[in-house]
Amino acid sequence: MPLLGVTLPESGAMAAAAPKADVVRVAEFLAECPASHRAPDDPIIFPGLPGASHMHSFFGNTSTDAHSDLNSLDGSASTCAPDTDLSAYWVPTLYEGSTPVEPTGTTFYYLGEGVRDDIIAKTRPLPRGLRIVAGNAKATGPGDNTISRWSCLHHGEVGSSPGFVNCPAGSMLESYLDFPQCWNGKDLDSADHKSHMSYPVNGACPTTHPVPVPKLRQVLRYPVNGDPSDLRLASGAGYTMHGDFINVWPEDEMERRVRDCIRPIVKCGADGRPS
Amino acid sequence: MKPAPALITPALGLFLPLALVSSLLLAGCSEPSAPAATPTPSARPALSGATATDTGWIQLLIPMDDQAGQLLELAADRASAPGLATWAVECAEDHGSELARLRVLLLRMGLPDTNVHRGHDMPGMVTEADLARGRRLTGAAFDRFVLQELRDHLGQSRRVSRSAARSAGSGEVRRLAARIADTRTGQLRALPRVQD
Repeated sequence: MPLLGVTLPESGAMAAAAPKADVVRVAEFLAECPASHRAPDDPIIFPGLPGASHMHSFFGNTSTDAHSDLNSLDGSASTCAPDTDLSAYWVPTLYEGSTPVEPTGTTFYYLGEGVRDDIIAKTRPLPRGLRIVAGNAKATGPGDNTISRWSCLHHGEVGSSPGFVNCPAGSMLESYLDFPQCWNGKDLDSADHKSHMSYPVNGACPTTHPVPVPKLRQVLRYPVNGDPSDLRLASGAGYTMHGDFINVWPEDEMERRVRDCIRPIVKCGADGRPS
Repeated sequence: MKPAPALITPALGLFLPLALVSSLLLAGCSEPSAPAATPTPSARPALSGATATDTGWIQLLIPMDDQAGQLLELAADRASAPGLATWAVECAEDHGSELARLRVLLLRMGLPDTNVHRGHDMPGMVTEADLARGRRLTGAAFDRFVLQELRDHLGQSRRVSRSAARSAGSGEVRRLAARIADTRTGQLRALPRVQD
């Protein structure tokens, strides 16, 4: 398994915190969810309006469309390992010229990091049906309030950037996106689809969003490299990268992973057992 | 400006405006179209029953109509095919009155009047690049380009409006969406043909 997030500062700190040579102390479980389908649909921004959106690439739940809700998703199948994760994940489609490119590495990590260890110990499971949007689809420039980053697989020297980066031959273009991990404890969505969630402040969840939940980190690896001038997203430039998520994990599967992997700060695999 | 107080509550599992949530809690059950128990006197009453579908449709139709309106004005000025300029003038007027109605609804939902889809590849949207290309073209090439762009715009806005006429939460929004979908059918039918 590749070392997680070597290109991100917070992940570098995580790796450096390893107390022993052979035990990496990381609160983590994951789902590996290959690309499922593409559609100009968005059940969070354009519910009930098929064809209204820019093109999206969907992962995980195989039924996600403009009419999806918790019930419809719950009765469907998933591309994920584990296949118990029926969650819907989607991003704007990446184009090289006019050809859509789907990522071949599609890992969705659930992490404790981002808050203090005593707060990680109080992490609550993500509630079923919770909708989270991360990144800034409306960004008008690389400095415009986005947390999404592009980097190169196995080429940390290239660094990470809000815009596309030029990856050496043989490498792959990687997208990293961390979702907010503090919940207001009440709402599964909000009018702007953002204000029910918050990023932590100084290692803790703010009083407005007091409930720590696992941090979703989406890591997508696209089979492209070299000059990125021919690349664009359906939402525009590289810095408009964003991710959408509807949690459809079965309650008991999510609870077990939070109890066994996140709170005690243990690294687990797709099966939710210590790896 | 604050966003519309709409939310999904875990308990109800539905997308409902705050006012409706409280009326549901009080009344036990209600229809989105049921009259409010205590109507608040206001020049711009809040939009009853509006959901994310209503927001999505209104925030999409406004930039679509805005952009298409600019192309229609260009066509009214520059088209050479018989009937095209006249058609464009009428269609631009329809778009202007639609925009006025849509913006009133947007205000009543407490949403800012910004194009949240700028720079995105939205199906059927006349983009800034399309407008720039239109300004460079003349004669039959201009006519063909404008007809293709407008056919896409009218078809896509009819499609999403038909969906909104079924799925929107507010009765007012459903009725406006249905009217716009019907108008689109008429506009497409009247769209002049040009020779290749």
